[in-house]
Amino acid sequence: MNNSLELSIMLIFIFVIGIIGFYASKFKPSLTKDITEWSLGGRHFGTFIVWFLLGGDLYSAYTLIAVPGLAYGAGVLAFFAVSFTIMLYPIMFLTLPRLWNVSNKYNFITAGDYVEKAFNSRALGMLVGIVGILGALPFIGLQIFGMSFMLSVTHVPSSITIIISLLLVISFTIMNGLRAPALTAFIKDFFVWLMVVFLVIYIPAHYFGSIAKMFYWFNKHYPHKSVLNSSQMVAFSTMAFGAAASYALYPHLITGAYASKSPNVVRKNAIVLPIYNIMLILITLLGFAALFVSPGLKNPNMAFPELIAKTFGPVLTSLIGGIIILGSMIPASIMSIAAANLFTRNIYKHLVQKSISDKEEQLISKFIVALIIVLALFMSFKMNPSFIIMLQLMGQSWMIQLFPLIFIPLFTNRVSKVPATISTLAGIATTTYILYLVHFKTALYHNIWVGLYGLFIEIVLLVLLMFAYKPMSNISMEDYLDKG
Amino acid sequence: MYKRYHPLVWILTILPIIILSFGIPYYNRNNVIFGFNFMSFFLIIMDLVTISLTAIAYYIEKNTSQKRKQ
Repeated sequence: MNNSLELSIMLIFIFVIGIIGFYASKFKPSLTKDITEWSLGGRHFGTFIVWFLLGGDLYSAYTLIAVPGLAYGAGVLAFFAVSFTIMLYPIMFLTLPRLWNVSNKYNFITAGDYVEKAFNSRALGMLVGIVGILGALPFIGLQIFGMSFMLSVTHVPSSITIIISLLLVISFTIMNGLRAPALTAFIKDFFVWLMVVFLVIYIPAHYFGSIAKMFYWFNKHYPHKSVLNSSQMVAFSTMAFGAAASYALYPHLITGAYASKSPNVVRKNAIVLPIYNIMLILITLLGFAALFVSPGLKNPNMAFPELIAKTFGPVLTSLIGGIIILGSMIPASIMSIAAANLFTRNIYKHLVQKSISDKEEQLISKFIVALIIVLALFMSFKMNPSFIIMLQLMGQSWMIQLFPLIFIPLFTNRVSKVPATISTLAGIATTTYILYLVHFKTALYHNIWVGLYGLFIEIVLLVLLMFAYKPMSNISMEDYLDKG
Repeated sequence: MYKRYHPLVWILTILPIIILSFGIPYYNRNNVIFGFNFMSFFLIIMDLVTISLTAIAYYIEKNTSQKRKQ
């Protein structure tokens, strides 16, 4: 078997997505020519498109690799990812439609815009921008890891394939903004669902006879991985809640919500997005099958790629590799747009040039899209994987510190600038100190997810300080309600 | 009229979070049920329950929103 067939299969996937990404501007003609057209697809995506857009970035290639990897390494603890994604959507239902209403009224494009207006503080807007970018960057890096883990079991030259796919992502994202990942997400998710259903039916049947028999085997051979011990239960619970609360604040999720045409589109998506969780549960099961097929792997993230490579021939492995690449390209596009919007609106505008036209803003954002993806690529190729994982850990545990800053003002105007600033900085400092205590290597401290320590301090300080200061008046509570 | 949410909306949306966070001692089991281990089966059920509860919350909020506008 020469590698030209495998390479051709991958390239077909990559170029089909590329062509569709370039074609995206023809999809649903735009109603506006302002900055929201590129950044938010004109803010007129319906329920169906937003479902694919949000599902496309949450259930990414790295998820498809890392969750079975965690199941392989830590057993049922991996189900925390499912618990987290179930908890995420009720949080989204409660918060993001209100954020959409106020953002639509004042034409906000990022969460930083909202915080800046709500607290009348450019510094807080910048803080949201910085934390958001720090959160998004390692996520893009992890997508690249997902691709390289999968490509390592094929005969395809990994670096070149990744570079070609990311160059296409940069090009179509610059050209068509959020419309490109919105349209390509249809294709990605069609193939991802097809792949997951096929794998979950075929692999347990092929090796064990059925999924039930796979679980009997797993219980017998890995009894300590098949149930959580008491300390793991605390870890499971705090990681799931912490991840859900922090993920609701990630810039790409907020960008997806802002791109909706109404608050009801966001609410409807909070109802239907959990359908994706069924896929996540099924993909987790493959980690248990990998324990049977490839026991003793040093890198658990190789569990899924090894399982595929040992079960199927090179052609099918390449097909699945192609799907994993699609699963990286779309999230990279959405995340880079969200991070670029944060940079341009909440950092560049305040530090470099205060008044810029929509055209200039778009130009800078496009340049930042390219810069962020190239930076993530550089980090993934040149830096130790543990560094990116450390950045991701920091990003996520800092992100949750924005919870009171972004979500509490949606329900009360009692929280004003000084208490918000002090408590948020205290939360970030506490979390950073806890991360320092664990040498930035693990997400847990005394079995509790690190971000929750900072959040606790932050909420205590906020409650103590908020009644000492005047309530905010920049945004009326009426602005959070549905109009029309 | 509520400027935030109807109390039922809060209850219906927070309920799955509470069950998943504090119910672990009850669903942390490895017996096989309907072909799945108990935890994965429970999570599938909780996913469907969350979809249903959020859908009910959606209709309550829709009615509340209409009343607010009147």
